[in-house]
Amino acid sequence: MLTLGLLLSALAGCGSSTEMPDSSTDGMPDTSTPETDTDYSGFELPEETDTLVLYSGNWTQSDIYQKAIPIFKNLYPDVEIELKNMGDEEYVNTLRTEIPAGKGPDMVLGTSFYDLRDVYKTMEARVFDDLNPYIAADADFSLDDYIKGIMDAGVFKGERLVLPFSHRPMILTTSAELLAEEEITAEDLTDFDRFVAVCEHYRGTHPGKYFMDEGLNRLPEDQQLTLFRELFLYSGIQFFDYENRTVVLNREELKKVCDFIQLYDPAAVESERTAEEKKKLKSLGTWDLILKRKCLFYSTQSAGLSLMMTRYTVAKKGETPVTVVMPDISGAGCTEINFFIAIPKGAKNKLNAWRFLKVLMSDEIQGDSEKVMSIYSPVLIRATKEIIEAQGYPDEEMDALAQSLNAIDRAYMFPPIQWIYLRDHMMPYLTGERDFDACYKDLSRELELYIDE
Amino acid sequence: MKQHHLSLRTKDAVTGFLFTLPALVGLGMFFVVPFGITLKMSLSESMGSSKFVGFKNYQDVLKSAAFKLAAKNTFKFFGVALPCILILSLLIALLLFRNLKKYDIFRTFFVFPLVLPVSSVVLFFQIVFSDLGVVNGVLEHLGMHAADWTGEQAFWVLLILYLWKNTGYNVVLFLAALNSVPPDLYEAASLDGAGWWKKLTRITLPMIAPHTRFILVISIVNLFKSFREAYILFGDHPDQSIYMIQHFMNNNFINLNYIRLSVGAALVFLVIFVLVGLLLSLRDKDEGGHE
Repeated sequence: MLTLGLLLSALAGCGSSTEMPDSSTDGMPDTSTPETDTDYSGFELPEETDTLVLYSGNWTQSDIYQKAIPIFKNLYPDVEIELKNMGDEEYVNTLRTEIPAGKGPDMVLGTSFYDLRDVYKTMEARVFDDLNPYIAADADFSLDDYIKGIMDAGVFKGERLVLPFSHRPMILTTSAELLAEEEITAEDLTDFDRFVAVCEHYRGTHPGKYFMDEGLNRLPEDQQLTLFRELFLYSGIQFFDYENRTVVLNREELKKVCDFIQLYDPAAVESERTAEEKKKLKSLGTWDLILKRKCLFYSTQSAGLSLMMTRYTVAKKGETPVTVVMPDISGAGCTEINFFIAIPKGAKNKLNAWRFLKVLMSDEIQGDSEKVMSIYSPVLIRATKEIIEAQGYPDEEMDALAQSLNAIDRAYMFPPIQWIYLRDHMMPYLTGERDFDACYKDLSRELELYIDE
Repeated sequence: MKQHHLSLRTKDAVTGFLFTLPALVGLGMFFVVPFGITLKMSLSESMGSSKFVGFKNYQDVLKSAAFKLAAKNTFKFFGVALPCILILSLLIALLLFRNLKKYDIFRTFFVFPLVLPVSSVVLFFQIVFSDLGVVNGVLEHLGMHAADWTGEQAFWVLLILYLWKNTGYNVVLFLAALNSVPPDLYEAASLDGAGWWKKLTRITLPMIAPHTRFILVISIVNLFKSFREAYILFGDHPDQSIYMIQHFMNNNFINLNYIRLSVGAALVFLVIFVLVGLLLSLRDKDEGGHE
């Protein structure tokens, strides 16, 4: 034990970084920290190869690839695409073992909640290429075409390690007439505190109604937890500073968000409803909820058909549809990135991977969310308008609508474990079983451990 | 004559080496080389990089609160589970040894938990220890409060699971050890007026000491394996009372952070190396004393 103690002391004391000549990467990805110089003028796009290897582990990835591959083949007919389809578990395990070993796919189309459980921690492991040099070297690709607040989510310590592919904002639809009836102004919907006050007032004056409805009153109780998750997420509350490995959760902000979520209160709402009312609600189309004054906002996370049908239904009845992105706690628009793209450092066909990435980020894919079902909302700015116009619903306010949908200042790749911690530690406060500070203390302890792992 | 003797020894040595060569190749391929790569990775700036950073990665990991908690919990679990299983299995073996006729039936009975599929065992424990499970039902029936077996009491669930699963195997090993003690030693001791305690402490325990060391090593290995059940029962981020080194390593694997994973693996190896080294040196000291 003495030997062990001495050895551990020696390890704790030794930290010198010995510079050695950079030799070959031994077939494994070189993930060394780059110098802080941001001049990419010396970077050249990788050499030509004739293959592109992609892995698909679920139907959503497969759906995206099936749409993108013909477009890519049209542009680069000499490149052979090897698309390996596998089961979801096999896909996840393959990524985890092959990518660090310098093998695996040339491009990863990943999700933040499944295959890479915490994208920020994976970025810290530096297994992906910095895409900034690629962007700088390729005149055909400009970040200005994309929503900046979302694109910046893929930056870690100055390196752009992942590129967001699509996102899911919390889009609220209502009608101007309903807002006027409730004496709510446009400014009330752009500030979090005022938004909460609006919801609170609505709940107070309409005890049997939800302020926000996706038709969840018809779904099992478990799925109401999903809305709680969404409300936490879209409140924009920050948990971690991943770059510095610290917890930045603010107690007052968390309390504010928890108190807002308590307004949802399904138990209280359902207790006000008679059995007949519940039966009638089941027969209503979700888009009629606003017209029948069953809720204040209809919420959706898609900028596609669902949103447009809601607006169409409202407009058809002679009311004026109003669409906003729910304001987060800083007053900004916040969204969740559901898919991102990355090029592993060990990829053998990086140029083709970069080309395929550009196809995924192009108008043909981004603007076609009705065919590419996995895209809730595109990250390409002009694609939002293309989707709206594609619904065949001409409207002189299309530009304003597209602008409001693109008003995203911040994006997040929410690791599932954060929701589990929130649910486990804050639900007792939401249900009134436990004191807020006791819950907050336990949550903070878990978060400290998690970020330090 | 001398040359003939030497060449025979050389022949034997070569033959022995050739017989062990497949095992040595396997050891090299599946242990030595991967471990070497792991060590190299743990001393590098990042994966695939040749940049040597000394023990900086070890410093980072050793300073990490998560690793310190994991190490503390692992040592705590070892410190509680190891004595428990050794004492329990020895006691059961001693009890069973008295009734040798029933020995064969119990041998099968005790080994049974080891061969059960892990998922079945975990499912059973989930049912028994869930919030509305059997244990909480009994506690409430007795007028006591239900416990949070997946939270603060998770440590005890894991301990019970480990003991349930592995005691039987140790009992079988101890029975074999007890069988190896010459019975005439006990007869001689009885003639000298020795009671059961003196027989236990002066004959049984010293005679089965080499077997006990072996059982200790096996128990340590099985302790590490208990992570499998812990992972299935409680997930990759369990209650802090059972967050162990394997959780730390596994979570870094999930996040593709092979550097921290390598450091964790190297430190675990170091600890086991020291422990086993201590055991071996005790054995050598023992055998030297006997000589």
